Amino acid sequence: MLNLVRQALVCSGLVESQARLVFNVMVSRGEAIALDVWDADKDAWYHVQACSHYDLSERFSSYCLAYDRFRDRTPRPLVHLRLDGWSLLVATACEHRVLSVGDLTAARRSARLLEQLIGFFATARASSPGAADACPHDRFMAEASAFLAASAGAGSALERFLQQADGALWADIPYIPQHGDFVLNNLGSAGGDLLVFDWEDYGATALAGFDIFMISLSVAGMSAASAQRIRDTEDAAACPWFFAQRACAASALPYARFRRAVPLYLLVFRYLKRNYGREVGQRIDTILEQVL
Amino acid sequence: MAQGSCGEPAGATGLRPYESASARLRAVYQLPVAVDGAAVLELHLRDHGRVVDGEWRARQVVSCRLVGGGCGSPIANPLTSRMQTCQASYNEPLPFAAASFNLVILHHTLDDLATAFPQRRPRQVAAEWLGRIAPILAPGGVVAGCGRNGSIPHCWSWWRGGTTSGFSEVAALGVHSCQSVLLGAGFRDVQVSNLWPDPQAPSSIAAVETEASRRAFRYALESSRASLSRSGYLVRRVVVELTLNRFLEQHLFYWGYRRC
Repeated sequence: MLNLVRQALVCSGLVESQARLVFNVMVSRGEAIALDVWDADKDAWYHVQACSHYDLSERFSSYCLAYDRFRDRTPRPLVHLRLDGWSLLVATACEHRVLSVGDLTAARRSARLLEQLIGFFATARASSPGAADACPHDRFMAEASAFLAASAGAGSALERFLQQADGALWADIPYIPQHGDFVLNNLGSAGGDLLVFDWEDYGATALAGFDIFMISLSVAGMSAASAQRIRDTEDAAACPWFFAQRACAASALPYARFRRAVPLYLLVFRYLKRNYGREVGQRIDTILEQVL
Repeated sequence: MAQGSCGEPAGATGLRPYESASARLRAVYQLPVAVDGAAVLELHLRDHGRVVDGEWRARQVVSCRLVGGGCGSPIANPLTSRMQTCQASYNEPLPFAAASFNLVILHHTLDDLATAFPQRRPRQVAAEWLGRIAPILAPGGVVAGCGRNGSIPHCWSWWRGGTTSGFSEVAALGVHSCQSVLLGAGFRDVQVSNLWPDPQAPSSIAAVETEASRRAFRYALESSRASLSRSGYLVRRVVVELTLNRFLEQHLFYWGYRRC
């Protein structure tokens, strides 16, 4: 596979054919192998995702769209190639560290990260293409509801919620394409600047506030109790998700409306994670049952 | 959302591609070479868990146990069934035709061989065996393996809890000797890496070159920063910046290509 990575980098004109390449590899539990490739001659780094199970071309398109809209916050996607049964996505490699809860807590005192986080939501709103139809969330919510209603893990509370759900639940929520997995693990800091990774779900939902909910849940802890606290706390200033009110304002989403939409966001969360394995699905199902 | 080539959702089986430890181990050993249509040989002495199994999509998979004395079992030549197990004596020449494999796997094998020859220097044993393996590789074929990191200072090994249960106590090669022995045996495009967290369930490999090592361990450290005390973080940060992790990690993973 490393020969294919070399071939991809060479035929994209990124490295010389005889370049000495060094590979750092992560085989995590996802569907792609992630590599940081160092061109020792040019001292240049590339990030490569290699997948023999699925085509990464859609992921590459999402990355390109994200890079167009969030240029300062996203590694630059360079090329996507299919070689010998492998789908290879090449991007610039940004040395960074994963953001922690402590970073966001510290952001209360240091404005830079907080401003960049709020700025991210403002950019998302400003770059939103606008909805093509009058009820923009209807189709997505119909798909999500149908999937969840048919899923084996759907509990009685979810079934009741889905039976009663109609367009009134989401009609007044602004249409802003969401990152889709806006959790701490997918946020980084490079020299103090915010970076956002893993854009494969970008635009899967445009339900404004979903990303704010996900990062809030991520800092509060992935549990039903955290989701209930986010839903029930009127003033979040003293909470770990203190940034949520400003982020909602940047998204033109009233904070009270955001809080009312928490069950809806959880439902979307479950739908977007439908391909992430049984264990993840069961964890979200449990949260859903307790919150609904 | 990612879809399979047949449109099947990624998680339809309930198990993601690299969720199992054996899938990750297989993926790591298949990094340097494509095994579709290839012939693969795993040489082993002690049972550390097999690398090759029926999941390998190679044309030929041979799992060969090296034993003392002259008690090898007959090996069909040419090899007939796709998956085959056999024994060979480590005191005799390897019973395989020249250029008959595209990948030879040495999962802890060099350490175990060094243990089997206590009167000789581990590095010499490793060099000799890599020299014996090179001819049975086809031109461009790959030798890949892992072993304990011989660069680890004894005091560090003791502090970390000694050797891993069931693994060889001899480390045949260290960070630098691994590179030089592979090159000395005629292999090219050699990469030596640290592997963690566990050779049976690997998730990361980081090349031992200073830039690559520093980058990988810096990322690993920063990812765990929240769980560390300030002093603990600072000490580790110094270790990372001095690129000492490559000498302290428990295991090495390496590969090299036979010259064409």
